[in-house]
Amino acid sequence: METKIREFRKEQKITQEELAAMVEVTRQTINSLEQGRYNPSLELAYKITKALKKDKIEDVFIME
Amino acid sequence: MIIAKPEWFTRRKYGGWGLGIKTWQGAAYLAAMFIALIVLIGITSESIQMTLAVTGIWMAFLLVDVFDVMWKLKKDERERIHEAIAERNAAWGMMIVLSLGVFIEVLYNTLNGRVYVNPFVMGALVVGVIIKSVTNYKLERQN
Repeated sequence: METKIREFRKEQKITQEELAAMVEVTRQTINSLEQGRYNPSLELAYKITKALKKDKIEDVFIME
Repeated sequence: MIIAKPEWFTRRKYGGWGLGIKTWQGAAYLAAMFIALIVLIGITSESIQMTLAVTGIWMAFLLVDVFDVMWKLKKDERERIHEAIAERNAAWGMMIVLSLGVFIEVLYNTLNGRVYVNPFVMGALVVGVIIKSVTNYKLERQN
């Protein structure tokens, strides 16, 4: 799944480690998400969307 | 008594099951445990029964601590999926080897006019079937 996590994370000036801590996952999970190698659960997608201060999940996660 | 803390350790991904050391506290804990065992064996060296008893208590203590840490170790959803797939694959590998072992043993014993199957090997397969059934039943009821 393609995501805009990296783009929005840079916008917010937060590191992978910081975002990982905010949503209670490992840095490796954030990296996998940014690379589009891992499809998150709805709960994690929601947490990441809120952590990146976006309104909708589909703003961050792009369904192909 | 629980001493070890989950944040000192990590899930062992390569080379077996159990825990891997994450921080210096984890390394210090393991070092202290082994030094304690050496000291206890040294103190009780005059009586083999005492040495065995002390080693047994030490092992029980370590097992309780390790299982407590493994139970409390935090994993995110990606790590849980990875662990589940790795454990499933390991279980399949073991099941194939055990089944092959039972088949070869039955064949060998039959050719030698005996009826015998290793109860531990059969036990492992039966326990596996029971655990799988109970897990599936519980999961179906939960969600």
